[in-house]
Amino acid sequence: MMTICQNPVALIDRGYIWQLRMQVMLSQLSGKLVNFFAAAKGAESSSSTVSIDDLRDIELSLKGDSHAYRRIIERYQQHVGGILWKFSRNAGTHEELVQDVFVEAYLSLRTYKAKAPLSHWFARIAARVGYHYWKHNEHKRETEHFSFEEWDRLAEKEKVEEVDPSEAAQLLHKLLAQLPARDRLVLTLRYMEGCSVEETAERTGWSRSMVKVQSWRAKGKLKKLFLREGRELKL
Amino acid sequence: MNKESLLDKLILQAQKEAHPKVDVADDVLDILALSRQAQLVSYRPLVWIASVSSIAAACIILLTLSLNGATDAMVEFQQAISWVTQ
Repeated sequence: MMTICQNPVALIDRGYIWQLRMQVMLSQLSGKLVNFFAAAKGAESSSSTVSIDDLRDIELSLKGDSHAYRRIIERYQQHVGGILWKFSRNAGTHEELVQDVFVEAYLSLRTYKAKAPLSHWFARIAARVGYHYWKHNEHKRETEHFSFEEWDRLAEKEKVEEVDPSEAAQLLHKLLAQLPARDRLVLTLRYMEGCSVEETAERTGWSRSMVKVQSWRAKGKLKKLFLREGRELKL
Repeated sequence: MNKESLLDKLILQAQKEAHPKVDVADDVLDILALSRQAQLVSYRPLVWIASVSSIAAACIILLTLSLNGATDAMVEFQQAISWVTQ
């Protein structure tokens, strides 16, 4: 059995473990109360609460239980993979980025305050990892060649709904790759991921007004890109 | 068809795309185990330096104490025989 019990993360103060235990107990108690009221009202419990399984596995992971962290990875790797597929469409790079997210998450597991679901926390780390990947490779942007001819070809199609989703995603990925990393990040989160301004702000760590300004600037750059080629893009 | 609807429709289409499945659990746990080993290796010289430094510090303290003691004895002896020099 592989063990990571001697990892620095395992060397944590007991206070934090107790804090997590209290959260598990409170979560169980509140879960029972929620279920009670949900049963009374015939409604389902909210999905925005922190999962008890997650809290337990985090506590065990912090104690060095590699099986617990494996369970966390297995629960969230497809979610993280989905986010990072918008950052890199190369299968090898994509997998490496997903790995980076889970390594980074493990090393900062102690900072998770369990105020929001673990999926939100992973989404934030994924956005940061993806953004750093873009920043690091910003000089290679020109290699992602965007073809206006391909855009026109799709524009001539009668039913865009019939376009293969992968083809559409590939074209949009190339289009956004023409922008600097910050602009690309905000547009990817807002439009490709379908995040609201609040969600984008949470994932990027920016203020809501910053997200709005950045989004407006990015859209302006996209319009200019089309204008330079004698085309118009309405956003 | 205008460009605006094309962009919106393309985004909607792109959102339907299924991303490739990933299975990184083994790799992540391997990386974490390896980083632990690397950390141990990097700690080893620091442990040696710390041990040598603490031994050296203890030696210096002992030497200082014994030198102080010897100096005191010398002063006493000098005072005792000071009448000879006078």
